[in-house]
Amino acid sequence: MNREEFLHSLEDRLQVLNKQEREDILSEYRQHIELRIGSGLSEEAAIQDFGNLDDLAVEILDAYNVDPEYGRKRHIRLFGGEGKKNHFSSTVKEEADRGKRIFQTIGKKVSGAVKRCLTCLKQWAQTCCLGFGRKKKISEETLPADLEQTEGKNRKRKQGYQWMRSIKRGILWCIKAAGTVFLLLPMAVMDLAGVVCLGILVVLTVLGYPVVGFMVGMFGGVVGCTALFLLVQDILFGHGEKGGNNI
Amino acid sequence: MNVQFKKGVLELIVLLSVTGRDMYGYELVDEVSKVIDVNEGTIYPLLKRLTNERYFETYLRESTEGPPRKYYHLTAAGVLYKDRLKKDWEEFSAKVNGFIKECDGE
Repeated sequence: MNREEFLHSLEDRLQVLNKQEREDILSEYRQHIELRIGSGLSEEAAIQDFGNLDDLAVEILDAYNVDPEYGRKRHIRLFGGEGKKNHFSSTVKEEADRGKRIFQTIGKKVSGAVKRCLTCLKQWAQTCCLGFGRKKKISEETLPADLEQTEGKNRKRKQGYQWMRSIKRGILWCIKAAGTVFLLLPMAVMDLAGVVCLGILVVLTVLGYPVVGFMVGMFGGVVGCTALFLLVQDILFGHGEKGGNNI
Repeated sequence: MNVQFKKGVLELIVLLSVTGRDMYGYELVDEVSKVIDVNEGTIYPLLKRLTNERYFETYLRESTEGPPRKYYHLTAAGVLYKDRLKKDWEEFSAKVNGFIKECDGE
């Protein structure tokens, strides 16, 4: 058996691997044979040093965690039963199409339900706003009718409003302070710790440790924590600013 | 030498060979063959597996003769793995040797 024959029959036995991996391992063997010949050995002898070809193929497939039996079966199927293969691929396609259809109908139903809910909410909000606006208008209309009476009432009402407003402001301030101390600060600390851990994991991954999974998980955690932090911050302070503008 | 013995210790010898300096496949096979007589074909799959498990990383370097060669470099994880294997081997061989002496003494 010469070099090309050897490499060709080895490649046949490794069909289960993808092309790039196959080329990769075969180039190692090709180079090994070349260097052996360079050091004065005959081509035959260099190939014989590899021992039994089947055992070698089993060894290689084992290194890729591929069951050598599976490799052999596939080898037979690929080169012995073309019809079977076509049947296999067509059934796979049918299944995939059916799955796609099911997902599409589910998606349509869900989006329809969400849309209906949204329109309901919108209508409800509109009726509320309209009702509020109408009341206000009525009170404005009645104002010029008996001015003196209503002015005195208005002044009293204003004082009452101011008093209520200061209480409201105090409660809001308390909620904001509590939220900052008990929610925002711990979250910020956790977020910072997460970022530090993420940095360490990235460095470890670059160094070659098998911690890619942890890194991705940590990244997700950091992003989630940041989003939560921003949400809480928006609820506490974004709302407050709007209220301030109204006042 | 017993084939099973060789198989068990081959990984450790490959890892130890690359510790000092990066090597390409053929060089590594030669180095290992000096220590144990092993089928040369079986070392390449082992290198492949250790690379897949991130104990080795590889890079190509031009050579004066022939195509570029693929060099194997031990990663930090590889160094840890090697140290663990070495410790395992030392403990294991010490135990076995102790037992052999004990049996010979009786």
